[in-house]
Amino acid sequence: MTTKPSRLRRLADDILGLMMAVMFFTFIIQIVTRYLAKYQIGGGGFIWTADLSTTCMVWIAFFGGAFALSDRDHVKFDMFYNLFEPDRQRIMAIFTAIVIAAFFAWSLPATIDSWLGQLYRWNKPNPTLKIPFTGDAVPMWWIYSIYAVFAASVIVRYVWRAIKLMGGAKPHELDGPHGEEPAA
Amino acid sequence: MISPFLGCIIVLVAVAMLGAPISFAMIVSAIVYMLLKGGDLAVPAETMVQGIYDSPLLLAIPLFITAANIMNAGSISERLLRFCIALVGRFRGGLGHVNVVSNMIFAGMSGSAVADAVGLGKIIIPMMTKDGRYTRGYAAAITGAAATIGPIIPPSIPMVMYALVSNASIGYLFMGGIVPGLMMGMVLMAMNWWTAKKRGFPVERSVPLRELPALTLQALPALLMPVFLLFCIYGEMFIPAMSGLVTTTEAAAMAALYALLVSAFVYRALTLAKLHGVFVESAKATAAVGLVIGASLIFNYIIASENIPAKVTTLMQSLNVSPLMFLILVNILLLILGCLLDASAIILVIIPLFLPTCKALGIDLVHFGVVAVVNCMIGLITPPYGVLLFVVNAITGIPLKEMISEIWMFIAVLIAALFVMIVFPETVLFLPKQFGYGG
Repeated sequence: MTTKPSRLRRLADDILGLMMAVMFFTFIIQIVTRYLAKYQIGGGGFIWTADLSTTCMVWIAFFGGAFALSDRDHVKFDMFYNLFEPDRQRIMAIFTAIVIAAFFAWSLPATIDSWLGQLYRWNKPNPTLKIPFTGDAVPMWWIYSIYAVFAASVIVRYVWRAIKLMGGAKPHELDGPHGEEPAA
Repeated sequence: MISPFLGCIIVLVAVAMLGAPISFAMIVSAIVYMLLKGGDLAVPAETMVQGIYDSPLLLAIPLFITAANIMNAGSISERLLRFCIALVGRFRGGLGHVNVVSNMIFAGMSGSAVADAVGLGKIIIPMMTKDGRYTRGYAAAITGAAATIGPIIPPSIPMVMYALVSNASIGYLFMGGIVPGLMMGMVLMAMNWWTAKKRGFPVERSVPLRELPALTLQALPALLMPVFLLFCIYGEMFIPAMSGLVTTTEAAAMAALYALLVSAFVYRALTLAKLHGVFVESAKATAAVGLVIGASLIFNYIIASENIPAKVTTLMQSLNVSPLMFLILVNILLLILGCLLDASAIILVIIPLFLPTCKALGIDLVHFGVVAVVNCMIGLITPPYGVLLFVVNAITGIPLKEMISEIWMFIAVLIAALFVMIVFPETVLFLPKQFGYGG
């Protein structure tokens, strides 16, 4: 690997970590404002915190899936896969990479057109999130569009993976160093 | 022509078995289902993304992951261990007991078995194997077995997942886990005591009792954390003014904040660089789990639209099984699946199949949930697919073979405890009922 992708990778990690920090501190704000609302101010507190934190959750999952997780970071069922020789594993990995890229690509136009497109045409607003300065409501399709980014990235990455594997690379060489185990 | 549902299952099993990420395999099979059915191809993405967006309870998961990572980075785990050595190291098989007791206390702050095994295992396994006092396999096995308690004593990430699919109350689920978690600790300690006697495991140099107050004081902020967390979740039951103040998800954030403040200001063990690492690692773990959860939501949508749970109910009723027999059969099935599948996949996809039958048979959903989660946690240490075994192997390099030869007796006593929980629902429901749970 050249240094450029790994620098991009680190940037993706930093952005992901930042979203996590935002989610965490949004929650703290939510608790504090709810507390104040109950005892001093009166009224409902800041409900935008709820929408901001669920937005962070969606973005962490799909931005992370798109840019920060390598194939081996995912939750897998690899017992059967591990029984095979590296050469066989390579063939299995080529097959799954093509299947994943193909079906994601097959469904992406419909996803953009009939779901995100509809949200765009209706211009459905988020109930509480506002754009800073202008004060307009954040459209829902902005938030949900991360799925299209995720799907596009999955397609590109798995096509690239299939090409590398067909060129003779071994599956484990294509992933970065040790990933974190999933939490269970 | 095969049915869309059958096609979907075949694709799922094939793609997952060939080594693809489970979440991608589920998404692909859902797309195949829509293609075969001639439905809208946008439905999988829509169900997944909106499902995540509309489940605020899910946010507890990243926050509990962050809290546990902060505790591990901020030396909270280490101080807790030192306290436990002073407390129970003096008995035969001392470090084995230390391992179980520290896991029980740690369980009261962390909701993830993996985080517990990583945080405590890194420190205690080298202590146990130093000078060959315990075999490597035994040290690794008891660490894995004790980590299963983590998500049983509240808080608990798997219980949050169960609450998501079952709509059972997360507060009562957490409470229902307390007694079962203590039971699991007891049977593991009994097993350790028996083995220690049989094999002559060493006793630790006993820490003089007069040193205990100082060590307790040092560990106090860490020891207070479970108390603080329970207070956040259940405070409103005792102090009416707190009602509605803190939700379970907010309690998770409070736990993370508390861990952060203690590590940074009391123990001074958390630097900004470390905190950055904690957020990145927690976010990555969240992304991996989040994708599995999202993909399971699509799958549950398909299962529901195929009316599978109702079919399971009809089948069970035609077999005329008693509620107890049903529980036992489901648990045997889950134990078998636990040897092969990931716990979150079982909780999110397999368990919803049985929920309508539970309701039809009058089985309490909190009882069922706690039992099922205990079962899935045992699945984390059953070979060949046991995530905790892999984690301990990854952090210590102890070969799986050595671990597996020692893990069986721990699995056996945990299953015995599970059986008691199944047969006597009061083991789970006694505490929730004291606090107003009506069933």
